[in-house]
Amino acid sequence: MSPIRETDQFFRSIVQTIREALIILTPDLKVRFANDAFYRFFATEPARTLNQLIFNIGRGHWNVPPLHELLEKIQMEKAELKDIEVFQIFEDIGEKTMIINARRLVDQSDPGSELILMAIEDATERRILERERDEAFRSREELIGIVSHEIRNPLTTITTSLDIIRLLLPKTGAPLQIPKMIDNIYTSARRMERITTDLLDMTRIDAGELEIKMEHVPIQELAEEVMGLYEPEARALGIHFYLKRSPLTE
Amino acid sequence: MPCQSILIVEDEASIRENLKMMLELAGYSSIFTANDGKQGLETLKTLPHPCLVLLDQLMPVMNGMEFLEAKRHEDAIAAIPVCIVSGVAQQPTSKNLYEHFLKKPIDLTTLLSFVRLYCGEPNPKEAAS
Repeated sequence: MSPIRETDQFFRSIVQTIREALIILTPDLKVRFANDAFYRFFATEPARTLNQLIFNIGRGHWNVPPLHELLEKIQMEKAELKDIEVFQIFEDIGEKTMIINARRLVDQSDPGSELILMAIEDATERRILERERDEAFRSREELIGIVSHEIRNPLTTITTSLDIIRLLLPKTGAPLQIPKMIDNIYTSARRMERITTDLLDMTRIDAGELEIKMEHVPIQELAEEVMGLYEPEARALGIHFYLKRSPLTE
Repeated sequence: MPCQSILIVEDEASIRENLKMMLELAGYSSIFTANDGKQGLETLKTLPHPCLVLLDQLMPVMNGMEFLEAKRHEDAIAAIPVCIVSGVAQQPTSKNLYEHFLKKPIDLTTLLSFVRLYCGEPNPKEAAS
């Protein structure tokens, strides 16, 4: 066996194991070689493919505008293609997203001429999954947005009612514990509000759309609020919680 | 001319009533309400010297943004300041149509600071506290 033939066979046995569809074309776009993955992808077979003009193989799969243009570009401009994504709906094999790479090779059997090697990655399933994931993110964000809005209205009724009670309380001579109870309800309502905001933020983080805003916060108020949230639980566990004011926080 | 009539446009009855009561308790006496943007627009045209509109965003019949668009084209009421009071997390983008955006649940102090800005100090005799 000649060294060229040996190399050729070695090359063929390697490319048959590759999951990506590979095809080698002559300069006039006839199929010199295709691997099994290519035949599977385009639902065709060697007898109907080899030595055929690429535009005629299968059901004219390569005779559609985006692929036709791509092949012309490779042929005329001798261009190399890197990660060109092509989406096409074929009558027989359905919707396909292909990522195409192409480069020119020296023809071992005719060193004066060049061949065209094309690798076609089937990205259909990946793109469908990505689309479904994006849609799921969107509908989850939409749902959380609606829930958040729906919760904000009853929360507004709660907090404004508490504001009114606070304004009226001095006139009523209510027991001393009442203002503390009102504060607790108010804090809990604000906590619920924060949960809805956090939920919205979480969906935005997942979607990579969170906008971070820097703002000044009165640290004393924030610390008091956090303490107010955990103080009842801490007290129940016998933990004493206290807040020490520092001149820096004034 | 003292300008103290305030219009609340809000479809949720409990919020509408609470906002009205809060403003009255704070000393503002001339508070009007509307259930949706359309009613709000009609009421606004009849008010004596309105100084501020508190506007919800999502409402039936005519929503907050439609109200603002319609108001913009009515010379007599176009300049009346609007504070959006909304449960929608995102602030509307057409900022030239309103003055402020308050997210629900609202903070009373912030609300009153906006009201004071456009309607002046409340009448101490009217204040309930």
